[in-house]
Amino acid sequence: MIEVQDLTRKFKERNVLNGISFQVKEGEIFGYIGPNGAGKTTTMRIILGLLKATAGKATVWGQNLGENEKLRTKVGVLLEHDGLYGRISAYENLDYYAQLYGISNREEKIANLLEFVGLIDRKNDRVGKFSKGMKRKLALARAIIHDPDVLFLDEPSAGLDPEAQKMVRDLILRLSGEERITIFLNSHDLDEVQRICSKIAILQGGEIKAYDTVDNLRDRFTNPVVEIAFSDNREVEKALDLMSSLDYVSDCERHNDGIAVTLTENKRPSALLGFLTEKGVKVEEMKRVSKSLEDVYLEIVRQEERNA
Amino acid sequence: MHKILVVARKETRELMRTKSTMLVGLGFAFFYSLLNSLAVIKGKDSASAISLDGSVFYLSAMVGMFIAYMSTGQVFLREKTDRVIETLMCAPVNLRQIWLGKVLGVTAVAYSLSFFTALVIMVVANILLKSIVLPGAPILFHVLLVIPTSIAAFAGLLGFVQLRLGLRESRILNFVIFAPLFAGLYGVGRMVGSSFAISWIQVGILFAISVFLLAVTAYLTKRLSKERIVTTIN
Repeated sequence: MIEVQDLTRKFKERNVLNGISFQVKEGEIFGYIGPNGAGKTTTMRIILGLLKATAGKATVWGQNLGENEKLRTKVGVLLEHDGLYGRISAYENLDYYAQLYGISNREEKIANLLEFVGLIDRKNDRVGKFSKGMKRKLALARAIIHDPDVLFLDEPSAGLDPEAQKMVRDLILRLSGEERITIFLNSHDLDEVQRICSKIAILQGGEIKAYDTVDNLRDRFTNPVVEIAFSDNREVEKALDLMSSLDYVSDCERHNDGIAVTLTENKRPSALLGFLTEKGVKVEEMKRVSKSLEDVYLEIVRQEERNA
Repeated sequence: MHKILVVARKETRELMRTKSTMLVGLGFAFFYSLLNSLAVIKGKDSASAISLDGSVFYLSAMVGMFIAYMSTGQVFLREKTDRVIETLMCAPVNLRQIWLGKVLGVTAVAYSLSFFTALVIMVVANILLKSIVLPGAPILFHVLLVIPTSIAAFAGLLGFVQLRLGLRESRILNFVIFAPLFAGLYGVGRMVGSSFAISWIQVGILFAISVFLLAVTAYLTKRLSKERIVTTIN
């Protein structure tokens, strides 16, 4: 559905994007993450047709969005800036876009959306008086007013309180699950991306450093960690002593009655459990600790620094 | 056409709710039209007619241009600096429709105040003169057709420049246009305020220039691009 192929973009002599490629399939929630200045917003602007590519291409359903007005009726957009008009009301803001998108049952649609984002009581208030969170919610309502097939969201939760962030997350999941809307999500919020995205790409320095599902990236970029609980301190000491000689244990961190053990790449925790029980260590519990996307992200950044 | 009118209606609504623009515009229109009405009653019968023509010719244009100048800053430049235009450009509406809708919106507001100015001058002058003095046919043509066309041409050109240039260049250019334009209009005012007779020739020339300028700007909008607008925001 969304295809980015060898996309390069230069601003003056600086390469902001350097031959990036990825695909977003129909119904996917695609998370596009990276530090400030990595080129995330530039990528989104090129896909939306706001900027041109220096080389390569970015298409939606095989076509350039900037050149195809009709295709844009199927696309919803929430950019970094809300794109709202401060001097007119919330209702009038939505009505403006509803008319541009040619929606017939505007009144009902707008009322439902304002109800959904919790702004129905403020529908006649000027948007200039709204808080940042309220503006974000209204902008989100505007982005979906025409029931798009694909939704581009640039930092949708920025400036929102935790409750509103959850609302946005739930909305994204609902749109993807029930309406089968494809979602392209630019975000700094790794927790948000981890919770909702089916696939992600990590952009750094204008290049895609990783592109896969969250689980696959976890497996690829972080070593397995297990937490082992023992019956008493003596067992802990014994286990620490034994594990110090193992080449597949890269790190051990002692907690009260247990140890957090980082294994080397691709080593299964069952091998360690087998080793300890064989040596007569009384293991009470062993569980694999799930690494977060933040760990993956940091690992990639570190790898990049090492390579540089 | 529908989308152009949607944009125009929104711009008109927003401008009408911009207190600063409306208060300055109304104040400017009312104050100068009253002053000119008083100038009209100083003359005798025939002289009054010339002075009324001159006042309406000059002041309605002056007010219209002034409001158009202030409004384009709100409608084009502000929308660009606030990056609101980025979202609009992602909607199914093209740049020429956006430009034309905005020009129509600005023209509607500026022309309303310009027409109001002409009306105040005529009404107040007639009341104070205690006789009916009506403007000539060229002036009626000027108020009804030339003024809205010249406002649209001016707003269109200024809007185009603001979309095309960077913010700093736009501000410099605004200043460069603003000073000579209003100095020129002031000079015209001094000239027509005394004994200058307004004929079809002057009105016709102004109309032709406005139409030409509007056509040229409309043609130039083909050269507008989203890329250009986005990259000149900062």
